Amino acid sequence: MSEAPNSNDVEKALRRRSRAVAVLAVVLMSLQGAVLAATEHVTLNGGRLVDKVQVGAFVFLALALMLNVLTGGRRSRKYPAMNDELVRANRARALKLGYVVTMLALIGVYVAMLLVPLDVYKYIPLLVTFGIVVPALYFSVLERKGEKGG
Amino acid sequence: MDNQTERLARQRWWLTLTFTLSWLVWQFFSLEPVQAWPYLRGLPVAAIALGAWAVWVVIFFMLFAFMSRVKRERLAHGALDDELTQANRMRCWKVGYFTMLFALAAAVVVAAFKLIDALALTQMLMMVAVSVPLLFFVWLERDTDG
Amino acid sequence: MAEAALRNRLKEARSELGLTQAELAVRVSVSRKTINTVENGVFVPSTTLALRLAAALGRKVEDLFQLTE
Repeated sequence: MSEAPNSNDVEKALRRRSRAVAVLAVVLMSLQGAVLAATEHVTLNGGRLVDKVQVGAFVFLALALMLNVLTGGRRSRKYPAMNDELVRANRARALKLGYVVTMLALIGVYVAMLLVPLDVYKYIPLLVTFGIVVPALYFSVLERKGEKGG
Repeated sequence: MDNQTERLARQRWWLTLTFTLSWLVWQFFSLEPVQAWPYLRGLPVAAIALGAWAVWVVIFFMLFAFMSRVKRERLAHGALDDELTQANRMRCWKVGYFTMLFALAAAVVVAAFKLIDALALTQMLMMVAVSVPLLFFVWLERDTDG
Repeated sequence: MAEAALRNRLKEARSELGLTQAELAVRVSVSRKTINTVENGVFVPSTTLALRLAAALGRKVEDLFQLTE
C-alpha cells in the first residue's frame, strides 16, 4: 500500500512545475533564433522541404511541451493536489489570456498582411511561441502568488 | 422574473448564433480562393458575402444594444451571467485557445504541401479561431429541459 | 486518489417545498438551467451558490450535498 503524499512533497512538486513552466517559456523564446534562421529562405511557395519540416517540428514540439506542462502531465496523477480547483482556475485564466493575446496578434498579422507581404512560415512560429509563452508565464505567476502567505 | 431570465437567455442565444453564422458566411464567401472556385460560377458570391456582412453588422449592433440594456437596467438580476454561464464561458476560452494553436500547427503542415494564398490562410485561421469557441458556447448554452 | 464525487438531494428538497426549478432559480438569482445541471450532477456549484441554495430551501448545506467516497 502506497503512502499518502505529504504536503511537503506536493509543495515541492508544485514549485518545480511552476519553475518548469517558466523555463519552458524561456526555452521557446530562445529557440526562436534558430527557427527564424530556418525560415530565412522558406516561403509559402519555395524553400527547402527540410527547413519547412524544421519549422513544423518546432511548432509541434512547442505544442507538446505546452500540453504536458499546462494540462498537468504525469506528476499530477501521482499528486492529485497538483491539479486541484485552484490550479484548474489558474490554468483557465492563463488559457483565456493566451487566447486573447494570440487572437489579437493574429488580427494584427492579418492587418499587416493587407499592407506588407508576410510569409506564413515567418509568422506562425512567432504566433505559436507568443501563444504559449504568454499563458505559460501568467500561469507561473498565478501559481507563485498562491505560495505566498501562511 | 424567471420568464424574463429565460426570455433574455434565449435572445442572447439566438443573437450569438446568428452573429457567428453570418460572420462565417461573410468571411467564407469573401475568401479569394472561394470566389475563384469553378463550382461557384454563376452564384452571386460577392453579393452573398455582402449580404452576410450586412446581416452581421445589424446583429452586431443588436447584440451590443442587448448587452448594454441588460447591464444598464440590471435585468434578470445577474441570473443571465450566473455561475454556469461563467463556467461555460471559461470552457469556451480554453477551447478557443487549443483550437487556435492546433489550427496554426495544421496551417504549417498544409502550407508545406499545398499552394495557399497567405492572406486567405490567415483569414481561415481567424475564421476557425473565432467561430469554434462561439459555436461551442451556443451549444453549451442550448436549452435543455430538465 | 480520484476527485470525490458529489451527491445531492437538491431535487428532493425542492420538491418537498413544492418549488419548480424556475422558482428556486429566482430565489438564488441563477438561471433555471443552472438548477437543472446542479440537480443532475452535471455542474458542481460553488460554496457561495451551495450556501444560497441551502438558505433558500431552509436546509443545511450538508443536508443537500454529500461527498461520495
